[in-house]
Amino acid sequence: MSQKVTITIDGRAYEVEAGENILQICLDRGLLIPHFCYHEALGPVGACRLCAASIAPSADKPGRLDMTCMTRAADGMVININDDYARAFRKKVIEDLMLNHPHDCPVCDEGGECMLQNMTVLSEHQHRSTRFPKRTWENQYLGPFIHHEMNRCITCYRCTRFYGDYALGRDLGAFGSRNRVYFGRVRDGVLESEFSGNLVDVCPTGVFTDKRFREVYARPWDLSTARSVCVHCSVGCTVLPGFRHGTLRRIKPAENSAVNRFFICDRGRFGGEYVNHPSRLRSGRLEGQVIDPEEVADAVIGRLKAIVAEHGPQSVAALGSSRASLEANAALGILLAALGSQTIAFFASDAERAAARRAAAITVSGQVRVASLPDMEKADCVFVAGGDLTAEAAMMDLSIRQAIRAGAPVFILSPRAGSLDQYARMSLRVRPGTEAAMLSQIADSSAPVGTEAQAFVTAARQALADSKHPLVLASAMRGDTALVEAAFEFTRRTTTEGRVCSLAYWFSGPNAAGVALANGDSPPSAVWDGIRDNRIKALIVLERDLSRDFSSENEFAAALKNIRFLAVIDSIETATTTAANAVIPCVSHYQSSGTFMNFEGRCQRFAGLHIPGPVTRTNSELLIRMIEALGEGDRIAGAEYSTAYDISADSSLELDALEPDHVGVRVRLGSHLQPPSVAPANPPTASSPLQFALWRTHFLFGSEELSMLAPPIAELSPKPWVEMHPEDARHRRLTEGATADLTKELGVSGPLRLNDRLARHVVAVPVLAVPCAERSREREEVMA
Amino acid sequence: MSERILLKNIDTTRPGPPCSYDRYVKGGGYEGARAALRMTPLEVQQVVKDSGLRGRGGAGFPTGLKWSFVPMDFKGQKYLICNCDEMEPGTFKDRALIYNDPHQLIEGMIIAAYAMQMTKGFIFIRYEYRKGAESVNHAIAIAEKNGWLGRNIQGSGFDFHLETHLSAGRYICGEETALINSLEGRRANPRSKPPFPQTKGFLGQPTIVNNVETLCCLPHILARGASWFKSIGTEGSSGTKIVGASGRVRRPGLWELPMGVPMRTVLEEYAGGPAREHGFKAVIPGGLSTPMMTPDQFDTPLDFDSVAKAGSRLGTACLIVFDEGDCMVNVTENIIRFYARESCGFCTPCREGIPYIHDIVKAIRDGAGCEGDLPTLDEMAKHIMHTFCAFAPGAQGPFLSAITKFRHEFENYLRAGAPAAATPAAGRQS
Repeated sequence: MSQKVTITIDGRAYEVEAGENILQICLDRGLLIPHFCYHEALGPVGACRLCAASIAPSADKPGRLDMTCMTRAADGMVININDDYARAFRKKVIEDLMLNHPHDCPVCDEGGECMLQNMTVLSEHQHRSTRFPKRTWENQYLGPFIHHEMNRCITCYRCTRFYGDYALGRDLGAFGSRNRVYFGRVRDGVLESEFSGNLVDVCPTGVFTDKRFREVYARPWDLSTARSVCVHCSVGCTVLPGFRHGTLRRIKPAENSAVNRFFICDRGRFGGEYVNHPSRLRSGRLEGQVIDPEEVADAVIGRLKAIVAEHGPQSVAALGSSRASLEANAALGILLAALGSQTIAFFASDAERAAARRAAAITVSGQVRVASLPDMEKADCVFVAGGDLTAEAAMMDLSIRQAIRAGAPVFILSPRAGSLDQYARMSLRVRPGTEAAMLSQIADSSAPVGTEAQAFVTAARQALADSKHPLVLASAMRGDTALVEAAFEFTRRTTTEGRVCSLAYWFSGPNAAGVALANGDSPPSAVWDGIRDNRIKALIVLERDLSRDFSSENEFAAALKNIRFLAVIDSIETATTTAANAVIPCVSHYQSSGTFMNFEGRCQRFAGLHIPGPVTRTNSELLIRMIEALGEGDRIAGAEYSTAYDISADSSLELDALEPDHVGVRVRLGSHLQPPSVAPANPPTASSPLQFALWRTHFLFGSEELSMLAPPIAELSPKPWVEMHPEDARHRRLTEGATADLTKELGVSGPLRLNDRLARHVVAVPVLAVPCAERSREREEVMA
Repeated sequence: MSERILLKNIDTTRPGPPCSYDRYVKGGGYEGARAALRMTPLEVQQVVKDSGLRGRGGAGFPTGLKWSFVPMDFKGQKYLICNCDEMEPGTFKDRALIYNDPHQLIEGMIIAAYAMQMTKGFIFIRYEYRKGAESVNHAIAIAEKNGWLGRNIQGSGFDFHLETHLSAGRYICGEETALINSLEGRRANPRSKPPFPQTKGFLGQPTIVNNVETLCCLPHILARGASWFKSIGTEGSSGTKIVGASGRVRRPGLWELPMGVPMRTVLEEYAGGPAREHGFKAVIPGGLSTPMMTPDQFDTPLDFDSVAKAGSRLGTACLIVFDEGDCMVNVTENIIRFYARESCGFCTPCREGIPYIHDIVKAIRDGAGCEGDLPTLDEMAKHIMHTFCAFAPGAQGPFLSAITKFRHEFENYLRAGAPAAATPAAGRQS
């Protein structure tokens, strides 16, 4: 229990929590004390010695110079920030730091947002007495994200504390001693951590800067910014994109105490550059003719009306998107309804839809505790099932790393080891689709256990028994409904007296949880069967590359064969826009406003920036224009969130009032979706173990389509390969590098990689979102 | 000379083979451990408390009190670490103990380990002492063979496993929390306290770090009793102390003397007086990190409290002696160069401040001093007191006393530039 105490700071009494650190107390109350090494997420270490003040244990005792970050509040404490000796000391510490700092401020990328500049001014340091030469360093190549400029280093240790202590990275360290401490890698090379970009923010000077931003540098005060939500996965981190002269220059995390707090992953930070990609749609197209975007929209309405007139309203269908907002997807539904049709689908397959809908319904049902990122950090035992958390929901992984630092054991059930596995207590490599059964075995201590999993299940059960706040994370992006049910069942079963288990699912896109709650959507097969059977003649697609839902280009082409009219609204060129009759370009996500629902059912509003350019309309604006063109504008005026999505009326009202600078609201389930109940987990329809199962491996860099249009992300994406366990390869007499042709069995082939951290009898291939422009270039090269 | 206790098996005047197990046992060795194993752990702690033993690593903290912070009801692993990092310039007492009588240290560690029920021990040895580490390793093997280490020591039911760890060699590793970090394979930066190592030390477990000489006192205290030990030395500092002298003395060396012997006795009688025609000018009493003392203070008894009263610290009681022929500007440059080099680089005033002090002192020595340098040095001497650990305050000891007590020498350099005949102090030039 926290206890309130009274302390005096510069003559004023404050009531604070006992044991809280004095520096944070002061900063929270706007009492600025200069500091470097202290960071709210990284905690105090007392290295920089800048946050000194005069501190006395009580009013009748003399004050002593001490570090406020290292001092915990106790009743009666008297702190004098403005004490003369403390002020002189702080000034001197800045002078110490300036002994070797290069004073290259006019040409430094950090200028304008440099903590050293701010702290120097705050500490009142002006004059250096030194006349000795400065230390100089050689810089390292650290990969496509981060530029290294060691001469600027003031040795605050924030970088290694974030990278190593906080994010558990192993390839950035402190070398040397005295005033020659070097922060870098053993040798030049790409930083291994998925969170390396945060070095840019934690570094108080310009040692680690955003390499991409350097290329298109603008002074930070010249950037146009507005809070937005990251578009690259279902975590929904709050970010601050910065635009200048019509192009996106960089993305920084924006503080959101309920989600990502201070940090973002490298895909979120560096993936946003897709906005500047040359293949971004800059004009409308109608049957190959380049025309104005609004004109295309109007023409599309004309064509759709004609098709409805000829074939009836049910001849039109729509495919919505997990990377478009709740509003845009709702508008798409309204447009379809205005045309008289109901056939709208949001997912790649019926299985993915079923799993996502079930997971989303459970998430917002209020029946189990759903963990936010800050909650995950407090878990004391973690189970991850069904995928590579680092690649598929990176910031969840960073939260789990905090739990690991606090001593929580992590157990991973997945076919292939990812980055988090190296920190896990134990991992079990399983066949895809058997995660649910394993999870149930852990939760039910009476269930029999197979010999292979004996050690894992025993250890997991023991850790679970010892835990008070266990956490289950399960994938809802692979169509494994049994796993979704098993995780839910696990959470309910293991929540007992004295133990509260929490749960989180991760999804396939930034708004996948949102569209999973859509009212009255159809399974994707309804659309594709309708097209195949010639019942559906026209398809409207919102921000989605349908080719990614098919395993080959031929299949994709075959599926589209019968469509008479394909209209696509998107901001980027994809295989789908290339195949479309009409392309209506919208602005990029970071220029759009709207709402995303993240994995925990939290809705966050993002404010788009209006950037001049050939395309100015957002997806929602275009859809509304089309609805109005049908004379059905009233449908928009009367639209409610709770009509379009299965959320409660209260949640709907909350969403109406939601502002972009809000941490977001967690919605509650309405009444349409089946209320969660414990359904018996379907026994996994495991194929015979002698057959190979296919595992499509997601990568943080390479598997997400938007970020793959950002050059540094594309640079780090894997090449196509086929992976097998060395034992399996040996049985098939295949060696590393040989061509593994599994076209007949699994429809894949490619150069073989051996991976002993892959489950037996599983073949893994990377999911690669190769940009459309590149694919056509490759095709041309092949044909040439 | 008084009775040799810790050094009884050691000839400090010439190198020789380490005392063998048989010779050690014949001289009463392992009797202290035998006595301890017959008592309860808390009884052993009480004996050590009663003996008044204070840490011989330099700080002089009461050993029994330090031990009493180790939780005795703690069920997990606890660790005992012997600090043999002896990187303190001018200090070579622990070296004599581990090179020549390793069983005495092992016996001391058994007693300490038993008193705090620590079943795992490490001897953290300075890299330059690797030959000594070999004799310790050899002695550990013999002790194991004779049932003094390993499982169920002498049938007592107490287990104690001991191994040596050769340090990579940094001065800061002698700081107990930096030592623990180093032993864990981390950068040897000191840790913040609290938590103290007694509750959260090596791998987060309760840990005691004791100096070699401290541990070597234990067999004798246990074998001969607390009151015997307390009868030696002074009221506040009981027992004997291994005292050393190096520098401008005729016979540099080590002597085991009761606490409280006047410094002059050591300098004149044991060390044989000045080595050259010059009279003594200054003494740094406790390794390098203690303030200089001048001839008017030579009657100070060498015990913790008396030296502190005289404005310095006993430290390791290994005196570094300067005579009138030594240039104190050169001496200061040499001293501060050492500290600038050995700063671990963690906190700002130490990391940046001490090299800056060195730059200034070196400039003065090289005749490139500026007006304002001395006030800057005065300011820096105050500034480096507010550091993370005791390293920079340790550097400040000799530094501040030099620029205060020998200020005129600095002023002469500033007035006249570097005297042509100035002889650089011993040591490598940077």
